[in-house]
Amino acid sequence: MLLVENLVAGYGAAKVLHEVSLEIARGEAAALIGPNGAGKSTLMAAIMGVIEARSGRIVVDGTNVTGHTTHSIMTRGLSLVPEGRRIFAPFTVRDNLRMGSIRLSAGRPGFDERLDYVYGLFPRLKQRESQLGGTLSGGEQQMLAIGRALMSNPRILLLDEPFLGLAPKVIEEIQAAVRILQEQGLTLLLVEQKLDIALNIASRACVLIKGSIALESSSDNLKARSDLDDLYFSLAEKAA
Amino acid sequence: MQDFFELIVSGFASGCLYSLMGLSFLLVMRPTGVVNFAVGQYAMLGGFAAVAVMTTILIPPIALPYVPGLLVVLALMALLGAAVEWIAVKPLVDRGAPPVASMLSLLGVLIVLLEVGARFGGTEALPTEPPFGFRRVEFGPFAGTPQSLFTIAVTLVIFAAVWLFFERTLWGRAFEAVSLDRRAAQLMGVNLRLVTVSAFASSAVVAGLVGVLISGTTGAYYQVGMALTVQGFTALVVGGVGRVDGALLGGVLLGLLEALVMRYLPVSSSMTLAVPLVVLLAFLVLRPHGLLANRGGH
Amino acid sequence: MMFSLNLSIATSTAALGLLAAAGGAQSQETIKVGVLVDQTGKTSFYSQPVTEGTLMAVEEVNAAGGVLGRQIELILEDDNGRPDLSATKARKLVDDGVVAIISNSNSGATRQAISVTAESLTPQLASANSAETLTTLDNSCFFQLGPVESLQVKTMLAFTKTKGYGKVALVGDNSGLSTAAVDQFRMGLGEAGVPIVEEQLIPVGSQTAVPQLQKVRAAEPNAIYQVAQIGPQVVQFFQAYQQLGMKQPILGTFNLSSSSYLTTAKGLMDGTVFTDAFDPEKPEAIAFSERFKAKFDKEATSLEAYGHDSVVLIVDAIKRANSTERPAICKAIAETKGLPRVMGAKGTGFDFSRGDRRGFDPEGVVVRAIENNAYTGAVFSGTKN
Ligand SMILES: Nc1ncnc2c1ncn2[C@@H]1O[C@H](COP(=O)(O)OP(=O)(O)OP(=O)(O)O)[C@@H](O)[C@H]1O
Ligand SMILES: [Mg+2]
Repeated sequence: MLLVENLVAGYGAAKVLHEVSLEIARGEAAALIGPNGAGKSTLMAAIMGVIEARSGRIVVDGTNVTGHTTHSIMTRGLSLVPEGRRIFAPFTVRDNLRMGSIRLSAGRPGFDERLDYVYGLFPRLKQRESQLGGTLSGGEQQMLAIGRALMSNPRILLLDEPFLGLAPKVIEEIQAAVRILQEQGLTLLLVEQKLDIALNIASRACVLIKGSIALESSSDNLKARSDLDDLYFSLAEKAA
Repeated sequence: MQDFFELIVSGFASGCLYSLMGLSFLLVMRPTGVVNFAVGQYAMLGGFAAVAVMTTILIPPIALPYVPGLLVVLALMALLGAAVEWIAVKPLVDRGAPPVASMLSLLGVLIVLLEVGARFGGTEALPTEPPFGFRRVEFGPFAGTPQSLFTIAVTLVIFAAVWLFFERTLWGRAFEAVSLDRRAAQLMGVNLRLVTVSAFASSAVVAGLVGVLISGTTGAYYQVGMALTVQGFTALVVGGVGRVDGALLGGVLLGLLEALVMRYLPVSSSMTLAVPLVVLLAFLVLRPHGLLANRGGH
Repeated sequence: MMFSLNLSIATSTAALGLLAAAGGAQSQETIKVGVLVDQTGKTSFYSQPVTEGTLMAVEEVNAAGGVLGRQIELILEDDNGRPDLSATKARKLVDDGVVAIISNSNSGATRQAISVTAESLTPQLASANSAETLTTLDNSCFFQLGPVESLQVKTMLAFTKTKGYGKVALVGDNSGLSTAAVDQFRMGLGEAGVPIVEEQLIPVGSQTAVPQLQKVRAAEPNAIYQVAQIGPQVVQFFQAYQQLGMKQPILGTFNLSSSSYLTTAKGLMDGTVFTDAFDPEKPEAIAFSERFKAKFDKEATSLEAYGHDSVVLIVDAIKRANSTERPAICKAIAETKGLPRVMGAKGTGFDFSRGDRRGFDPEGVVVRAIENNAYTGAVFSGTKN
């Protein structure tokens, strides 16, 4: 469903991704894991057309979307929950969700349905409908960020470290919501540093080390590894 | 007291022009972070364009009535604004240059537009027929001219429309979202090109409208831009950078202040144009966020 | 307007070029006369119409058989209104072998060209410049054909005396042109013993003159001298005057003769009087206006008439000198006396025989009025009353 082939991307003179390839099937939940600065967020940005792919291809459902603008990639069914949530703080919860719906087809007939859907998934957002985004708690903001990304009715949802800095109880709450999405058949790509959470949700994981995929494996095989605690370290050793 | 009430009307009307110039700055500044000092030259060209399409002076075969003429001028201004973005801003943004690079290239545009205006319109003030006259009209203690009331009415309508757009429509909110967090707005699916181009186009339209209004009062003049630039920028700073209502408030206050200072303080009248500069400096130093504080964002 | 001007100058120039070519084919050589003009600079708005008058006059002279049996060929040089370019362009004309130079550019540019014409003893005629000190420069072949600023002040003061205003106000703008006029009027009024009760400036770039005129109104003058020179500020003066419901008589300067005010300040100036160097009821002016209208299908202004008169003067001088040698022409111009011209009050003409190289008749400035949004003929003239 989503295919990334030999993708090279970076910022200015710095090359961050070196020929990264990755494939996610319909309905699958995959994890992208790796240490700080490995290039995970950069990969998300490149897939979404936020930064330019210097070479390689990004294909969605057989259509090459390399070099397309973000909004046209979104109309193909992709949506990203960005790292750090990036809520529009002075907007109400509802206005934040409205922004997420801007790519719904013209006339936005589906807006009310989507809104009900998101409120169903995160009832707390409905309670806070007219509260300003900036005044929500961290967990609520994360719910809002996910809800907002769901407003465009995506078929593939990319989540960039959605659990970062949240209390265990909230993590569980959001994890439960993600599981519901999964059960409803949404294709997921989860960026996560913490292996336990990632392997819990995803059935398969790709490990990104210094801008290259160092390992690709099923979650069960990974869990069985003896060097799991310092997986990144040993993979980096191997690469060097 | 008679003087005071006359001054309120004429200061308010001048202030409306400053408010519109402030709005022209704001429309580009909010979504792009670029301060476009060429807006004064848009006003100058808008004035000459009005002379060209509404009178037989510059282009003799074309002399449209006021309303169609105005619409043609504003359409031309939109094209000009979009063209300026395309030529002077897009190439820089595509290469990842910061907003300050665009500001510098827009200063180049300023000089080019000034030259174009002087060549096209000449150095003489050229008139359009104002839709209303300058005979004294009195209402209660106030006195003004029909033309000054027209300017005030047009300004209030424009500000109401812009305010409604930003506060009430989805695309208006999208402009706001871009100004808050460009990247996040992009990830909502906001078409950044569309926002940027419309920002530059609408900014030129608003400044062009100022030019049209002035062409009916004191004539289109090639040097009209610089003072308007200072006055509009001051209006923006006084009202609170980033706010539509702030631009209106700032411009009107500046216009009133200018009029009252000139009339009642013992300063030479050649200091009129120094008033906005002094106010600008005072605000930059004492209250850099203006009278209405910014609502979050940058 | 600029477009049509450019166009007509271009076509006239082209026509002249053809004419010159045809003349060259004949045995007789043309008489070359240089013209310094601001075609592209900031003062082109008046330099161009002046030059249009020069071109028309030369065509007329040539059509009537030329002078000394030879055709006149005009060589136009654009100095962009810039003093730093003007001398170079003047030198170029001298090198081209012109017998005289007509300066239709601004005073600053004219001043720089004077040094070049002094060296080469080339007669130089400033058609319309009004700067005071041009003829104080050491060049016996330089002649100023328009009235100097102080002359309009003198005339306006003579007119004022007939009205007996007890106290007056003075309003200008902050341009160099206007502040100079303000200074002259202040001095002249002081000498005449007329108290100035209020003096105001409308700065260039301001949007309204209401505060300034309120101060004027508060001072209760019997008349207002309006000496602002920059278009928008002049218009603001009249708008504020009307808005404040003021009734005092307004006395203006040459500047108000620019007909664009009849549109920019339409209907606001009725009753205003102003000084002018052009009397539309003078027979020479009537004839000129008719010829101009027949040729260009538009009304002549004093600017074209200024340009026209330079040619009248130079042709007359060449005829009397019976020579195209520069010093001979120069001498003939200096001896000109009682030569009729379009500009100036009825009965006045060129006169350099007094030893003054300012050839505009001291009694030649007129006062005109604006009624029903149109200019009237002269209501007063000269400096005596
Ligand atoms: N806008 C940027 N400009 C320049 N360099 C950047 C930019 N964003 C990221 N980088 C650099 O690119 C590299 C990869 O960053 P990226 O954010 O993709 O890593 P990450 O894997 O998401 O890390 P983390 O787990 O900390 O979020 C880092 O070296 C980072 O410094
Ligand atoms: Mg990251």
